[in-house]
Amino acid sequence: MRRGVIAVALICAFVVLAVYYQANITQHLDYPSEREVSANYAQYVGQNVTISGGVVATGVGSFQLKGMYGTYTILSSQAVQRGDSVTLVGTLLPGNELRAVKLFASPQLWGELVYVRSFIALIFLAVLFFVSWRFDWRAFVFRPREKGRKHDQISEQKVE
Amino acid sequence: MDWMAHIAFAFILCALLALRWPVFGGRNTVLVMIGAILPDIFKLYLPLQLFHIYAQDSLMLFHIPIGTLLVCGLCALLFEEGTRVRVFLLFTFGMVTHYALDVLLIHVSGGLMLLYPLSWDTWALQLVRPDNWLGTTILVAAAVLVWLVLKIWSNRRVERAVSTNHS
Repeated sequence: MRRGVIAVALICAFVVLAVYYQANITQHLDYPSEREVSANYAQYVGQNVTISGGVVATGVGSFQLKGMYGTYTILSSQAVQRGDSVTLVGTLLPGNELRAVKLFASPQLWGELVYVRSFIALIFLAVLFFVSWRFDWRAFVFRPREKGRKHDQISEQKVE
Repeated sequence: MDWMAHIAFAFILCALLALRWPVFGGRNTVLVMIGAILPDIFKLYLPLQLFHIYAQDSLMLFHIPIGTLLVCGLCALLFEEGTRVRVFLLFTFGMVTHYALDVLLIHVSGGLMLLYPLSWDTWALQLVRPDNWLGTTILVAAAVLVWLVLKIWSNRRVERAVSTNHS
């Protein structure tokens, strides 16, 4: 009962803080994000904004970036490849164009390897956890696994 | 930074701290390692994007210390009464190791919002690329090395204790 009350209190605190964050974050960003830009493009023309996405096409002195809400032409001399992940701060121009000011590009392979490594780590951690801990469904808690419990029981039976 | 780097870093710290404080060793090490990836629950926004659900801002609280602390508290409730405070502190230590690594990362704008809701300021040391594989390799190699050295060391201690008992 007490555990349930604490859990509900923690969840409520989390939800309140998350809602407050979501409601106010736009006022505290260094630069407007793509969500704000897509909601009112004309308002941000000439200002620096930040956009993230994947490179869908490359050209001389520019490339096409597919963000969450649209595709943008990025004017930049930095070499990127199709498929690369790019986060940039740039000056918003009319017609879904940005002139890059600061740009961080991550090669597609490097980005994918992060997920591969993380997946391997997750499997490893899950195995490691369940080697030491077991879930008691009746009490709905994790309990330490007793090392060599079966072996001990067999030994006791032999002694009897 | 990827989860392999986070759990390797947490393991190294626990293995070294357990030499002085045994509470960091044994089955408790894995709790610190889990705490070290709890902030990244927020990355659930990535698979959600495949279904055109853009929940990055909604889930961001998981990757802010106050939110992660609440998650640590919730997770600790899933353990036996009497051990919950210790489990919570172990998760929290893992969380601290996560932010200690993440603050090193390069951000084009912003960084880690460590003091929310008291402050909206962000911090980033701009030292390491988020997709960096060399750092992960070094941390994993160091974790394996620490594990091997401690294994050999503890085996020798047991052998020495056994031989002392026999003599």
